[in-house]
Amino acid sequence: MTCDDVRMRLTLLTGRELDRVALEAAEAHLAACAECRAWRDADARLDALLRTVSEEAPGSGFRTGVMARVRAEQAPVPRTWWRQPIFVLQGIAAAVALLFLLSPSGAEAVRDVSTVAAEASASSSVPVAPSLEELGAEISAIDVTGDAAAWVVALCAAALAGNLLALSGGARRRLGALLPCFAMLAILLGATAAEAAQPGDEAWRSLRETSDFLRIVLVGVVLAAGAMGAAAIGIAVRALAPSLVARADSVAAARSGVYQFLVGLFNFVILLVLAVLLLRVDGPRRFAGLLILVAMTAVASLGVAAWVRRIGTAILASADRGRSDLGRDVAGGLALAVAILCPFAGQVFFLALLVLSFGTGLLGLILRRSSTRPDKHETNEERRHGENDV
Amino acid sequence: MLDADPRSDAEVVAAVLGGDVESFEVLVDRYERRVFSLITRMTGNRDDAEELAQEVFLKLYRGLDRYDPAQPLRNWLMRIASNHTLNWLERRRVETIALDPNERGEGGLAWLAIDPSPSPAARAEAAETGAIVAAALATLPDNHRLVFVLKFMEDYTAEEIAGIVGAPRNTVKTWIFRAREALREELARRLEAPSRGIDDDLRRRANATDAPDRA
Repeated sequence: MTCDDVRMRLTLLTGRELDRVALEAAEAHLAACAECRAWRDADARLDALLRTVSEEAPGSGFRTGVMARVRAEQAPVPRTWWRQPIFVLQGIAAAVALLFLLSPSGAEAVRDVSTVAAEASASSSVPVAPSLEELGAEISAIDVTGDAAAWVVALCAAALAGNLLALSGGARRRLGALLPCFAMLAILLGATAAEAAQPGDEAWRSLRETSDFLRIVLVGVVLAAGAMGAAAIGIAVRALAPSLVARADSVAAARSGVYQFLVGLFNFVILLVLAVLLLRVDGPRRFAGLLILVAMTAVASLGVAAWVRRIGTAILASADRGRSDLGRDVAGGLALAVAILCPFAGQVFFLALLVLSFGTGLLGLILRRSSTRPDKHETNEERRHGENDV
Repeated sequence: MLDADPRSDAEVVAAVLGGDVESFEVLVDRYERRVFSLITRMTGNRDDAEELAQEVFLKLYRGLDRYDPAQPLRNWLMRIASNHTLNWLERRRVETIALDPNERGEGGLAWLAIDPSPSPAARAEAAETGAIVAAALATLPDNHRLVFVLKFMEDYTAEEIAGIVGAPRNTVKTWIFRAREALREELARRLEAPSRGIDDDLRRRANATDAPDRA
């Protein structure tokens, strides 16, 4: 260790960074080097001098002054919900969906879905994890009065009203109301991917009967694709709309209450029904359905990005690791994909969960141990945003 | 009362974004001393520092929707404060060069608070010390002064400082080390020959600050 190294260490490892162990080598050097001892004495005098300088406090009128200027500012976000584009989008989507369902063709579509779902569940002889058809069948069980369309319309109206109510509150409530919509979208994407990955019905069934291993591989592939997709959505949306996602972030970090869950669950049920219907119809109706899905995707991706980051942050924090935003997004994406795809994975899910929980614990131990070592500087894009502009 | 507010920074930010502007006062209350301290030590002038600190909080408010709750708010705020102060120092330098060089001392160095001491004599001495430290700090380059103040007077870690000033960690470590070496030499020089080390303007200010206490 050179004299410069020693002095650097003694200078830097002070205050909150004080590290007795790391200083031991430096102390040993001091005992042997008179020059460094003289340096240290001079340095100690500087410390004594700095201690005589106390903390500065602003004058008593400071806070009042700041608040007066803050009140004179425009609010940092528009306070009225109708000025926020994502809520306009959702409103339009809900209105279009409602109109569609009110039309005769909408009611017809509901009946179609009920029939298809009933046939699908009846013809399925092999007990498997719930598929999209079975989900549809469960939803069509709403058909107590024999007219599903009426129920759907009623639910839609209620959802729309619920949305308006939620939107009139603070940003927290607004987002809370939307969160389950995001979850629904994610499930739909997962389900569509699973359906697309499914080879012909016969082949799929024989595959299921013959090989659990192949099934695990297939689920693994879908899982990985889903994780990458979720992470990619997060990263892309973050790059495209940083301020909107940051707002979603701060809201997501601030609260996660029962209120959010209940309001959101309502939206979730409603939009799930809509989506199942829209995926079943053809021609122009399908086009309208796609438009709605696109609008919903726009809304949902913001929330997905915020949630992916938040989940990833929580996971990485539990492993005492988590400085890289990319790592947060990828970890969050993986966890979200696991959660989304579990209904389609059946027992494999439990296996995966087992592996994941043990694996995370193990990984956490390893990372915790190694994270005491100094690591390379990581740039942080998020913190670069917006300090210089007014 | 404001001190007792149980909400976390992220929750307060969310409340402000939700339309509760008054909650912003909680953040001002929590961080005004930190921000003001840093700026005073950077500019050496309380009046300028107060104005700059107000602007910093205004900037925080305007950019609140871009706040990432995964990062501590105080580091983000210190980043805003650092950038704003550095920009201001740079601007002032350009402006004062254009002015009459005799007027240059006006916005300059020379004020630091000192701990209250028992006797007037000790207080005068401490005022002298504070002024000398301030004067020595003012001789450092802006970025060196910034990292020095953050590390040794505000107790941030090198890692946090790297995030605040937006420079690689190893660069920041070098700056801290060099700043400390330079400051120590500068102080040694000034303490050995105080009458030559401090300019008249500084001496006048130190006396002016101390005078009301003696009366």
